[in-house]
Amino acid sequence: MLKKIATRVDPKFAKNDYDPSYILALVLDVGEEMILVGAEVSRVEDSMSRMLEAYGYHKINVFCISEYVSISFMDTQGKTFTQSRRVFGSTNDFLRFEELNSISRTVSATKPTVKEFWEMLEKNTPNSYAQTIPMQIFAYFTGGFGFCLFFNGTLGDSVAAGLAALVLMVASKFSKIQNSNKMVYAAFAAFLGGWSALILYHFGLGVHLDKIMISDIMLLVPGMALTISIRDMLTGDIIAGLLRFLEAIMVAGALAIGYAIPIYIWGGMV
Amino acid sequence: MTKVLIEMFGAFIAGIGFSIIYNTRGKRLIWCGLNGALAWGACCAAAVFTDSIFVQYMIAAAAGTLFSEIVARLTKAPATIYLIPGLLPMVPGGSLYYTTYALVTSNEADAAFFGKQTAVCAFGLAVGLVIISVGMYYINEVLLRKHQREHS
Repeated sequence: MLKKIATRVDPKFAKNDYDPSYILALVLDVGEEMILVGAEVSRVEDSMSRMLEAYGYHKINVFCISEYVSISFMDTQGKTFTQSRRVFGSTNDFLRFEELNSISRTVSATKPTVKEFWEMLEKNTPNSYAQTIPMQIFAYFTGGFGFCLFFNGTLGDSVAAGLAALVLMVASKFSKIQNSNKMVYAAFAAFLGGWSALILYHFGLGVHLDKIMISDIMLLVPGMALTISIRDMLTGDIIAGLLRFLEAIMVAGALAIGYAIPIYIWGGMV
Repeated sequence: MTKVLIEMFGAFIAGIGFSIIYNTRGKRLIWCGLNGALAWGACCAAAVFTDSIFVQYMIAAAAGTLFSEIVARLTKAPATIYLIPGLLPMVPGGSLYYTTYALVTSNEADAAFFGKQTAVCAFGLAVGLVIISVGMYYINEVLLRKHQREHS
């Protein structure tokens, strides 16, 4: 379930301009949102500790995995502060990612007051071009089309893969309303994708069913998550890497079940 | 050769499509696509010299990471934005799916074969990624320390 981060800590109760507990809460907001938009764990830890270092705190301890963030530090008067956050879900939103990255750089460089920091985070971003429906249709179509060309499909296969990818787009809109969990969503999207690929193949669009299917699977399968998880483990974030690794395998399993149902009903891989 | 060019073109447009889904800023799209094409080109070029899939994918990931780090410096954006669409065509998504599909349909021989392939690809990519990104991290740190010394 995606948690809304609309309820940010309002700075009106802050004791002074540099109230450490509010600074900490805002830094955690940045970290939490960075994980939500798909930043690497090591980058999140790095930017959070840089921000806190800029304020001159001591004993900064940052721990971050893809579902949990915790920070503890000692302020200039020798008082210790600890706060933690549970992070739900993750997506990829590189526009917001870029903004958060630049916010964290600005904070490390300029040490803003609580209010300025809060305003930086609350500043409304203009609606991106990528959120419009025609652009989304174009994006999913080119995604499926490109992958099918990449896997040496014919032009007909590629068009079929692009059309089947549009079904996945509809599925992605659906799941946001239902707030279902990742595994259920993967199985559901795979089920729809499998049917649409089979039906398009049946109507004579494309000649390689396996290529059409694998191009659409590439849109869903967490291959990147698997690679990133091994990268995380190699750079020392073993727990974060393991979590992501297990999740990737579980989602892939759900996908396989989702695709297996239409194939079974149709009568084996054609 | 034509086959490789078509595949690179496929990687290019798939990268652009994915970047739009990931809500990347419009002017960065072309770099995302180019990174995908370049990384796959590097993989094919490596295939001429070695038969090892591990080494091929390692070289490809290293090339893609280096490219995205350089472009990130030029355009002042985090490297992840270019890295993910760039490596996307190569990630072992297909074989990961085939592994789980074989497990679900209780086909153990296929499961072992594709499982091994998935592991080799993912590990190769990750090693290539780590080599470049860790190197870049230390270069960054050194530059930052130097910058701080000059300004303090």
